[in-house]
Amino acid sequence: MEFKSFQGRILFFFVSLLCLVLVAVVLSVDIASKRSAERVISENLHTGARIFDKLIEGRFKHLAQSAWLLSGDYAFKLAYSTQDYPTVLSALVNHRDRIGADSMALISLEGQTLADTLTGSIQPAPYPHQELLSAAASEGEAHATLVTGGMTYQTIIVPLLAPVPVAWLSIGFLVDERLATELKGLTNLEVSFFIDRRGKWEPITSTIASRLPSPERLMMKGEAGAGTGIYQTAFSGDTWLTLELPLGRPPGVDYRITAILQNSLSSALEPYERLRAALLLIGAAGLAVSAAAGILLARSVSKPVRLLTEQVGSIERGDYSARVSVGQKDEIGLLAGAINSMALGLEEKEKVRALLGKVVSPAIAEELLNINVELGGEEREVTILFCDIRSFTTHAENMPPRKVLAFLNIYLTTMASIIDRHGGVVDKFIGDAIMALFGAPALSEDHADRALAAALEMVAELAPLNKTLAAQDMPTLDIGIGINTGKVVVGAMGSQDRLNYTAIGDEVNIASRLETLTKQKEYKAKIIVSEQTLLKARHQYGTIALGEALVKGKNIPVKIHSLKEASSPG
Amino acid sequence: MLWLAAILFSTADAARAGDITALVVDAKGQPLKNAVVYAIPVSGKVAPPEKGKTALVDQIRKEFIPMVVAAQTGTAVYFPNNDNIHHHVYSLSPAKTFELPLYLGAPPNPVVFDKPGIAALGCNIHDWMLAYVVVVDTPHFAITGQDGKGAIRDVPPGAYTLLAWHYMMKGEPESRAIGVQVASGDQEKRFALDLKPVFPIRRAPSLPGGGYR
Repeated sequence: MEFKSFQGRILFFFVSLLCLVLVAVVLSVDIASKRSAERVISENLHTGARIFDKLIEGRFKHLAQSAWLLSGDYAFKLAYSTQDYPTVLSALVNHRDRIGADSMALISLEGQTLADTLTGSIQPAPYPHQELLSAAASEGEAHATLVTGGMTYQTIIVPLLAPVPVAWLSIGFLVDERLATELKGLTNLEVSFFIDRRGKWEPITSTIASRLPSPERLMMKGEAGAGTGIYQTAFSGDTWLTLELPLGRPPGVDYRITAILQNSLSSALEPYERLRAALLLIGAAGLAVSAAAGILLARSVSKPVRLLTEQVGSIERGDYSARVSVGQKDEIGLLAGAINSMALGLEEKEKVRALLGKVVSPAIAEELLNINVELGGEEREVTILFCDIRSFTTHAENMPPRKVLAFLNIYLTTMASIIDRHGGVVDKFIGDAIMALFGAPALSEDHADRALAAALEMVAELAPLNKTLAAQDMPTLDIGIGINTGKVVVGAMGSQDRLNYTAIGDEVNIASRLETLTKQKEYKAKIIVSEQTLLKARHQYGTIALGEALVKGKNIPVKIHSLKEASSPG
Repeated sequence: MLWLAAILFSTADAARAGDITALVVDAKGQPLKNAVVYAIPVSGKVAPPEKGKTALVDQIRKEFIPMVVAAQTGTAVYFPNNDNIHHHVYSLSPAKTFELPLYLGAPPNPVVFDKPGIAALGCNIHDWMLAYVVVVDTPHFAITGQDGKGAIRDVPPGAYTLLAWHYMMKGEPESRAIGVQVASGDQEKRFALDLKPVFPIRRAPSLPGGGYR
């Protein structure tokens, strides 16, 4: 992946790494939670089933105790012994309310109902659950969950003892929404009761059903008789883990009551939903924080890098003066320091180069900068040009020094630029005099021609120069030029700390002497050239032989020529 | 329902009384204790109970002692309380309905059982206390012991219907009547009774979770 900015790269990695971690965490928590929720629900269902069994058993026990208390109740026995059934019925109602039962009946040992609080009747009628009476007769008491008069009751049969069994007492507790709600409160499970008529299921009551539309009520139980284990069923938009709990098949009937315990997956996942919300919130916060941290970190790198890039850019453009400050002490700080040092170095070098260019000719400066500056030189054939102003001392005497300097600067600038243009280098200015070299330090084969051409142009330039000087209220001038060619030693000379690039040798002196000769009236020459130079020149020049001249300090006379002005090479 | 195997008379031995021994066993042949065996003369003529003849049902350590008492119709039965707590003896049986509300020691008056039949006695304080007063129209009765045998002594000669009753038996005592000709010497009759399950009432009524188990 390509990034336009370092910030983007950092941000991408930070955020995607965190996202990856977050997704992994959320996913694993998700899976673990779902598994644990299912396990918890299963455990809840099993625990709930045990509690449920205990509760149902406990209810029967409570029923039995109440029934037994009644069966031993002396007043009731007395009431019974009167055979006055309205009294007996009234006593039954009294006892029913006393123990909080829903129905109570007195049945003869022969199976005839003598008094029944459900019907309020004292007309003898066959008791509907004869098999339960038989069970009670053989077991001492009997209980079952039965449908009586369209309602479902937990029914218990105990004998009325006086002190031997004289009749049966039937006591019933309704299996209704109140029971389901109570059981739900204790087991924390949804509780439903169904009548299972050999696979045909009828709902009795349910803690969910009241919230369900009727077509869905039968869906609660899932696959009818799906077995003893826990199974899943889906209705009203949720998945329910379901456990069936038959309450036992009562004797002598073709149905049985089955309790269905259920817990919805979503309700078990509810605490996890909160956890996930918290996780996502923390994740979002972490994402924001890490994005901010990433931006900060990226900026701490990219901002100084951008500054450094600008700095390097301006150095590239030749502006060495700018300095960059990143205010850091790390690698980037070190880099900034190095770039600043580099800029400083470049700036100083450039200063030196500029100064050198002014102090020495650009060619020499270049030579000095590019080569290893060492003391000592080499012998080379060069052409030396000397130029001087006629009667400069006289001119100078009549001018203030500042004006003299200005005058000299105008003159020297003009001449130096001509020398430069012809590939010569100004070796040095000696007051008003100019010493120029052709053929050193840069090698050139036509150094004699270059020198001659330069000399001609310098003389030709005098007229315009004088015009300029006159315009500035300066005296006009005339010059003399001496040119010689010969082997000299060129190179850096001086001390280790301070040196000059120059040429030394007799030929230099001869050139200087030739220039001096131009002052002699008899030669009438502005430019005096040694024969050596003319021999070296590749072109023909208009010259006038001036014979031989004995140059000061030279034993052998030098053949000299006057170079005709305005003569071009032929 | 009532059958008499034989009703025999022997004038030669008419003056001599005899003993009738009844062996009462259950369907498996196990001897039954506390069965009442009694002989009713076929003639139906019996003397009223002797004057001063009484019966006794003690209450000792919160039990009726004995558990089964037989008495001729018209006999006065005493219910002395030998415990140092009150008892409240009652019977709601049609044979004799009575009540001796909470008392200590011997109640001043006995209860006269003036109808034949079986009175189940209970104590209103202690559910498990249970006794039977078997009132018969004859002075000739006995209660079987551990060996299931009950000997009716000095029965005048004559034709009798011998009956047996046990509180665990199914049905009425008449259903197991045997005709007996009392002459000289002992004779033993055997009763095999079908029993019904009877559930003892718990002795500790205040304990929860009990009942007939």
